[in-house]
Amino acid sequence: MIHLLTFTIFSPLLGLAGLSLVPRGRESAMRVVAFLASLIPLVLSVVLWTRFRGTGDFEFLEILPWLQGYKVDYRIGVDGFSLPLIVLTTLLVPLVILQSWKDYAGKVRGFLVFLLVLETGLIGVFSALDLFLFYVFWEAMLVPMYFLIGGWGGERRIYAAVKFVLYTMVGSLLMLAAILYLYVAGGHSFNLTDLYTLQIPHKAQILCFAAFALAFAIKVPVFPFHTWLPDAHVEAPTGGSVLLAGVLLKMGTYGFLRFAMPLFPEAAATFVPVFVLLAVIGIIYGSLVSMVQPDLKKLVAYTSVAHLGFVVLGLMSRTPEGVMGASLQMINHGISTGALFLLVGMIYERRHTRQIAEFGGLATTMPLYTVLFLIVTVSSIGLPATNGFVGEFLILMGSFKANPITAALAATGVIFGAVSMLWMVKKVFFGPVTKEANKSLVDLSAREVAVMIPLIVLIFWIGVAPGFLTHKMEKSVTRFIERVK
Amino acid sequence: MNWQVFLSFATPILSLLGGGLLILLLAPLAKRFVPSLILLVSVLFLGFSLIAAWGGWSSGTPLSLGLMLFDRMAYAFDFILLLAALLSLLLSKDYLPEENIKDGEYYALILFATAGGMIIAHAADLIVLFLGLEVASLSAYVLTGMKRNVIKSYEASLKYFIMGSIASGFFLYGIAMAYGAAGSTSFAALQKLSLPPAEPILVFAAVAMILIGVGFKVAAVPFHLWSPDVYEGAPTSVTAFMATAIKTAGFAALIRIALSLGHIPQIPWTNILATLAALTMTVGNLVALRQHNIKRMLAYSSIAHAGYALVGVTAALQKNSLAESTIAAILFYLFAYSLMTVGAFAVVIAIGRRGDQAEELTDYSGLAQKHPFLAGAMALFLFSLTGMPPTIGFVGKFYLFSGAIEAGLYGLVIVGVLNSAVSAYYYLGPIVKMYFQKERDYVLPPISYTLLATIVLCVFIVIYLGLFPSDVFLMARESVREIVF
Repeated sequence: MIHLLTFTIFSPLLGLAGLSLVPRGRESAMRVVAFLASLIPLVLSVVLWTRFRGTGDFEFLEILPWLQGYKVDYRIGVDGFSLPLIVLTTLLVPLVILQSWKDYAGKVRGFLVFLLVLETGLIGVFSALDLFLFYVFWEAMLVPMYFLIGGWGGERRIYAAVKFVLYTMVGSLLMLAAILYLYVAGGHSFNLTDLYTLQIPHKAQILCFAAFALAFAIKVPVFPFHTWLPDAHVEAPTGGSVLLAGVLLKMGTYGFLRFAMPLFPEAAATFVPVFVLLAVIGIIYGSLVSMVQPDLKKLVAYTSVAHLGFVVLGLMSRTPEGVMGASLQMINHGISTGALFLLVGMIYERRHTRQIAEFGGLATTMPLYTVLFLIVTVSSIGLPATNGFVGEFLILMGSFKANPITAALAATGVIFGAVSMLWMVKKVFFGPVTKEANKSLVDLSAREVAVMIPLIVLIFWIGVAPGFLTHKMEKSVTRFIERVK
Repeated sequence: MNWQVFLSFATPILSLLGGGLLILLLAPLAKRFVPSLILLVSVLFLGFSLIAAWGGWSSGTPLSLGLMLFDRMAYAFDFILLLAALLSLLLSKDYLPEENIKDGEYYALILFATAGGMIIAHAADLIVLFLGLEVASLSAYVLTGMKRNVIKSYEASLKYFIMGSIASGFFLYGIAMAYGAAGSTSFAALQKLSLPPAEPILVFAAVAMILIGVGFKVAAVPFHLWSPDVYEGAPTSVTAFMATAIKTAGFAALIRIALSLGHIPQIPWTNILATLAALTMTVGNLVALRQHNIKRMLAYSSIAHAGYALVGVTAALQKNSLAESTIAAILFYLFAYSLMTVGAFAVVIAIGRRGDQAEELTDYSGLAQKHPFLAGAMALFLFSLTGMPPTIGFVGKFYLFSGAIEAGLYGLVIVGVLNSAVSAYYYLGPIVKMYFQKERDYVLPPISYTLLATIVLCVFIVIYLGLFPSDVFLMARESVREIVF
């Protein structure tokens, strides 16, 4: 089918058209329209997945001239790194819509609109092969996220939303300067495949890499640029947090993978020790801080810092295992942390609090919820047979090859992460039911179970038989390492 | 002097001057019988001028007739000026009766000011440039004071007049110096100035004083102090006109002067212009952060945008720059900036009413609930002013900064890019208020169709050219290919 990728990117906008036709007040109709519209990109991305051959080159290429004066093209394509991320995105959005079925009464339309626009931006970022197009999607994605946090978020939402936008913008604007420099120095092209072959003087490489890396480091987030994350995650509405943690953070690591490291390999090599250090600090710091959080969402937010520290570690090892593990872990983190936020959203819907102290003994009143939460927790920790294990193991193996000491330190982070999550689980689920309000909680409804099923299935499928995923990534990993070494 | 040739080429200017005179004659009569006749006549003359300018642009061959020149760049400036004037007139239609500005002179003065700007664009001689500058400025001084019963308007007008006259004095003195150095005030003579100049002191003094004069008109720092007070005190439709048309005219003057004197290596053009640009951007953006009146905020935003355009002028004078693309970028940016600013002021007008101008930022609280279209349009214009894709503001900045990188002005681009990030903060402020704060107790006045049509037009162009700017940019580049100076 022609233009499959373009349809995948822009099909959420069909939902926009549909939503505008629904008369005001018919909120269930809006939700149905949005849900059905979000299934279209999901189906399309699965079709892309089945037809993807994993050659290591960019597939499903589409090239259209756009700004003639500057040789900017509308150039899109996917490879083994971007396609899984796209499928992840298209999977999470319908789940978010399903999960939020009863929320935001009175302001549903805006929520769904921004959600769909965000989806378009996200898929676009992962498909762009032209630096200008990438930048457009990257920046454009800030607006819907800003509105989602500011309009449907928690108490300190405006502070969180503005902080998110400004912090990210500073990084991206410096990246714009670097992109323009690359354009001028690189023979006036924004074409990524051309730029990969460019030889840039070392000093210029350092500056450009620094600019790109700053923008991506803020997104990932790499310690110490992570301070926007807890606020944004906590104050965002559940659906916003799911996409923020599940997909947006991956944009940062994807940026390293696709742009910063292969475009400037020598500079990347120079910076590797710095990033390895920051990654290890992030892993240990993130896990330790998450242990003492009283707020459930903030706890998960800090574990994200830790998990993505693993991904950065894997990338920086520049070994096949490390990079494969990193790429895999990007997907895994999206699934597990997305699932965690969805589950937190479900309990928030019932009790309107996220303070751990307010819970206790939920296993008695909500056994099904407990089981699902436990599954997702062990996936997040990295228990064998779950997806987290495969990713973390590969990363540690790869990073051990590069530097045994940092790998050992990072491995201790696994333990801290386990402590933090299991401690939380004990406080929330096990023991006697101490608070009155918890005694009358209703267990998960069919809709909520339906939301979790795809994620749980993937947790085990990737955990036990990750081949279907890694098979498509292999050649891209090899290609990446060739470019970076 | 071949009068027929002159008349045919100068039709755009002459039609406006004739139209203005006609309105001055008609006004007292028309007021009594058909009030909207004057507006119609003005629009007709502007339209006729636009057609004549289009004819001039298409005819191609550049022509210099001693005192005036007719090349494509001049006509391109004419387009921007005429568009700005047309939009301002559309804004005025219902604003004037509300503000009790009954005088037909308003329309005549707008036409005269635009004609003055066009004279600047078509000037081949410093004296003619000065003439155009004065025609435009004197009209602007009077227009500022047209809110008869409001003292702020008087104060603004007087301030503008006094400070503007001092600046014009500097400019005139500079012309005298230039005459002393070159023996003639024509641009042709200035361009042929021998190197090294026979009288260096005269040339330095000339450039310095001329730049002071032009710097005032463009509201560059440190000649900007008049701008916020004048923009705040003037009737809002006049502010919109001044911020767009008069500023564009100022840049037309600057570009011509820079192009004709830019070849003198003894004058440190790069240092002067780069310092002006950096100061203007930074001071404009930083002070805007503290504003709580939207007209003042937009005034400082105008100052900052003039700073970005000055980056373009700095770049155009570099030896290794692609001068064509860079000057085209400045033209495009002035066009884009005019559209966004007129749109923003249109929304400001829409919200105010006699007696309660609603110019404080707090007056925008909850606008999104009351009037989603106005809020959405304002949000779009503010995002465009920040430079977020996919709006025309982003594309404009992209072209400008590309040109600057091409010219090697890396430091200036970084300053520009960081300034854009800073500006996001104060542009987001009204958006936060409109969307995320409670409605204030205020009934919106009914909004006229003309106003709505203007806003819709600006919204459409901001988005359309944000996505497909090629044609307009190529046209701008075509305009700059064969300039007379």
